Amino acid sequence: METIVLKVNGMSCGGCVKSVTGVLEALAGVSKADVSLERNEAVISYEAGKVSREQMVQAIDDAGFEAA
Amino acid sequence: MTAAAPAACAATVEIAVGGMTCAACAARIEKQLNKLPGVEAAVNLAAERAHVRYAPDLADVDRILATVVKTGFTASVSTADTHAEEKARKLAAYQAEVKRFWISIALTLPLVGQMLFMFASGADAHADVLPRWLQFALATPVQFWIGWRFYVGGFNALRGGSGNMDVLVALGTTMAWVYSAIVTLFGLHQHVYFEASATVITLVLLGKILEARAKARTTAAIEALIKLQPQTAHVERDGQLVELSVATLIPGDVFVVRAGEAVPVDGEVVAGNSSANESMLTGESLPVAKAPGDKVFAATVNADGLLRCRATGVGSHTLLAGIIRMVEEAQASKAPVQRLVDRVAAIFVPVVTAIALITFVAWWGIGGEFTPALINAVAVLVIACPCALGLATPTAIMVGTGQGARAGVLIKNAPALELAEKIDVLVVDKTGTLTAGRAETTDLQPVAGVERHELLRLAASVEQGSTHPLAEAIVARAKADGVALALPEDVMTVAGRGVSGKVDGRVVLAGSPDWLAEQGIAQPPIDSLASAGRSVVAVAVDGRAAGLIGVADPLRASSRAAVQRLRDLGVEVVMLTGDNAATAAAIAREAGIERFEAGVLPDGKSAAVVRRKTAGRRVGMAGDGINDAPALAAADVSFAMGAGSDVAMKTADVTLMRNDLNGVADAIDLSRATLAKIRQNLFWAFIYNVLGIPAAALGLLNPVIAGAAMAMSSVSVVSNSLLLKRWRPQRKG
Repeated sequence: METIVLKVNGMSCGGCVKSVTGVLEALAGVSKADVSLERNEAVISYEAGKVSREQMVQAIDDAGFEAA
Repeated sequence: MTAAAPAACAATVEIAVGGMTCAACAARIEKQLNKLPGVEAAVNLAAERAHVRYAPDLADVDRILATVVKTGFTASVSTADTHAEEKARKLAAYQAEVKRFWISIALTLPLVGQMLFMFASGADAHADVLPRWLQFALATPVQFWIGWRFYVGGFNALRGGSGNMDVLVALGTTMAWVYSAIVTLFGLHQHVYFEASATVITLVLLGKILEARAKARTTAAIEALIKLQPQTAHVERDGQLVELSVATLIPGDVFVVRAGEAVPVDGEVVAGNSSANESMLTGESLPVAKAPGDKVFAATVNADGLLRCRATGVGSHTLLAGIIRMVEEAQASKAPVQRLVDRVAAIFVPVVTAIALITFVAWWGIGGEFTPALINAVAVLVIACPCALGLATPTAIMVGTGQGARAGVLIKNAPALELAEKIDVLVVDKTGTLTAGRAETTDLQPVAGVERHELLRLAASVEQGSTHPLAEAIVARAKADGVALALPEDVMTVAGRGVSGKVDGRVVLAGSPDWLAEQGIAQPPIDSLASAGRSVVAVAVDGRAAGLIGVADPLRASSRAAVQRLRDLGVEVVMLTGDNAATAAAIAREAGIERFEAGVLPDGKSAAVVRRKTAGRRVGMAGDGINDAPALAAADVSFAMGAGSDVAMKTADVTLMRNDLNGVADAIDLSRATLAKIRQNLFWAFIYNVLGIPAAALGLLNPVIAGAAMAMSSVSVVSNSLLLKRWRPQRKG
């Protein structure tokens, strides 16, 4: 199990946090996503072979936020 | 930045969106949807819906739904059926609750029967009639299955930081049940109080059901508004006139509205001359002339001319859709007011818990034994739970609404009865509320040499066939004055301008002063009438001016007295109207109203209400038109005139059947009486239990005392509520 921290910009409320958590955990290979509103980041636990950083960034972008 | 406007026929779809918590969420969804080619979306946070228009060749529903899901929310297509589904769901939930109540009665009745038997047989209640395990079996489902809602409600309330009635009920009944269950299971030689826990739950549930019946349905107002929207339009396509569904129109389409039809979408007149009845949207009581360049609005009714128009606002961009949205948002954003009962319970719970703790500590500390200390502490909590608490409010409100109905004040939303007495400002719509909403002939100004009733006779005779409200007002006045009318010949109507015809061989014209001026007929000055806010009908006979007739929408006879009464009650009266300033000032003066605003559009009225609410005032709103609906929905307490539109009556908390603003003063008076009654009921509900607390603390509690407290408090509360039947509305002599 690997961990990665992505910066997420554009979140403004608890609902936004829920959205980001939801779209990340919906990806196959992601086991857990801890999203913090104050730190503007998502700490993601995933299986290296099943999902890539690009896919995670894409999912966050598709949800309307900026991921880095 | 929006996508390019769809060129071909556009399709629309309503999406139910779940999971939105704030405006940023809604804005994000809108942004993501608008990024799709050919898609234009508007997201309504309060209604949890997205209204999407798209070009079928560029986008489809599945892609739209997927986009919403990718943004992190749930999405499903919402059709008109969703409203009906929601209604059905709520109805099913209510019916399930009622079924549970009857089951609760069935389970509780044997326990109550035993209690009554114990009363009859004497104070020594050691020998129960029913075996304890049977009591246990009856009371347990009542406690946990039927009483589950109190645990949930109480938990939520505590999480929110305060106690409420649910907490009190859960605490008291659980203590009674746990104690009794332990006694039963271990075969201890103590009293059991299963009937106390079961009866309290049953009676409080009864109160909740009575209250649920008295609450208004919020969907009724929205349904009534949606029904106003025409479903089809006559649209020009390739030089032909086709009948299409309104949903397919896009801005720029040319459509035709025939005489008597409702306008399908907002638009601008391209050709044609007519007048439109816009009273439902703008409150303007008299028809508005429509000529090329004028705007028309969806759901207004075209009078007698043909109008060819270009669509400017369709779908969710019409004035009507805006009104619907405002009503939805107002209803969604109204926080439920904390009821008096909950406030009292919130104080009572910690007090009683403290007394129980003191009892426990005292007995253990002084007496030294643990068990009696625990038993007596529990006894305090058991006796402290007032079973009539749940009935205190609903019984008073039921009798109060009954008395109100007798006085012509129909209260459809029971919580309004608790709020009405706190109103300190009443916002009143002018047309149809303060005034009768009907055109009446108020002035006859013949020129020198013409008799008044001759002027009226000629004008009314030629106007007989016209359905225009100004014409009808003149004819009505003639009939009222007993003037005999002659049959006109060669009657011609020029839409939006007037009528001409021959009466007794003379050519008579009756219409707008401008029209007569265009034909070279000199007019007497209309200033005196115009400044009084009248609509002027100029009359000419054989090419010469015969006089002017003033028509207006006069104040209701009762309004002035009502305004005075409201001022005496400490309520500031503010008048709002979509009408012009001159008319508004005149009416305000007559009614004795100091503050007013004229030329107000639908969103202006609700803004006026919200402005005052934010300033911390309790706002009442009285109106009658569809254009009043958003303001009615936003107000703390809303009143609709019985003669007003269906939509107003369905949106408002109270309907005034006598069409008399005095009804508002009556409602406030009734509210005061009802609240006083509720406070008295709370006293009666608690007093017996409070008296029982010392007995419990001293170890003297037994089921007879507990049962007596329950019975007496219930009887007291119900009889006290019935005394409210003595209330009568005050009438000034």
